[in-house]
Amino acid sequence: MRSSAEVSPRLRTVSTVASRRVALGGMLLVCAVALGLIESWLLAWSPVPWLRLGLANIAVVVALSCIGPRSAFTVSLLRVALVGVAAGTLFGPGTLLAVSGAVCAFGAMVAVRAAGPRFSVVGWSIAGASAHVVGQFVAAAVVTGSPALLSLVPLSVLASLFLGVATGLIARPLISRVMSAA
Amino acid sequence: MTRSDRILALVIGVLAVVAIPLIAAASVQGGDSVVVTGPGGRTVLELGVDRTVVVDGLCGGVVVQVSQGSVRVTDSTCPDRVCVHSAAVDSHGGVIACVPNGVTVVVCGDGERGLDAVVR
Repeated sequence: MRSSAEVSPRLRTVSTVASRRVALGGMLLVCAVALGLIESWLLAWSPVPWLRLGLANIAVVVALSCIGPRSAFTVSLLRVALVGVAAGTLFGPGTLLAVSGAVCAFGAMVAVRAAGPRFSVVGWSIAGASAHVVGQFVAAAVVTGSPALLSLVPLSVLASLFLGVATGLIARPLISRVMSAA
Repeated sequence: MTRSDRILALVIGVLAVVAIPLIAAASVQGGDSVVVTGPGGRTVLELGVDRTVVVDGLCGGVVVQVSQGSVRVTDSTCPDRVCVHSAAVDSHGGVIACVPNGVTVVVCGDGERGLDAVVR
């Protein structure tokens, strides 16, 4: 039996990298939950209450870039669950909307990311924001049985373009910092 | 932003802009009734008659107020109260939703009420 001092340098490196990924994922999850809660509080003062700013998506974009799609998806879904617990809306229709938006946004961001370096994180963010809006409104129309809600989609998608650019521009320097620190 | 980012934004923006007049064209101006749909069924209110009703939602009551030709949600038991903060709607196709309560408020025109009940 080998002591810890005898562990091979390669194994130690792999273990360190894995630990850093877990730590980074946890840190980004905390950031996503905090941003999600701040956003839910800001809703009370928003002139367009049904439009979300997508602040939590900043953490998901950073996660997607720094720790990969699988971990980023975990961060995204856990964020929805934890915000639901904190806001007392878990297992309600609101969580269904949030999950729909998160899944659609994540799928769109992964698809754009897979297209290669032609798209930057701003492009991922734009795709994610637009898909998030569409996913949420489709889910809302299904939950309430009211297709009339879909009439709000075009204006919301237009607004999400600007919000997607903004969150992407915020995420870009954060990614550079995280990557250089890792 | 890369060139592809800008093209992506442009394509999404154009699709959204094209959809706006299509939706507007499908709407008839001058709605005259309000269809309130909840878990318990539908209620139709006259947009020209001031009135306040309480609709039973999934997690409590939703107060819908028709006043001076427009309708809004004035109170709700939902946690985020997006519906309460939404602006009043007065034109055909205008919609307010309280998703946690499963309640929607839609302004409709003639011939599309599909009446279950009319409240006067």
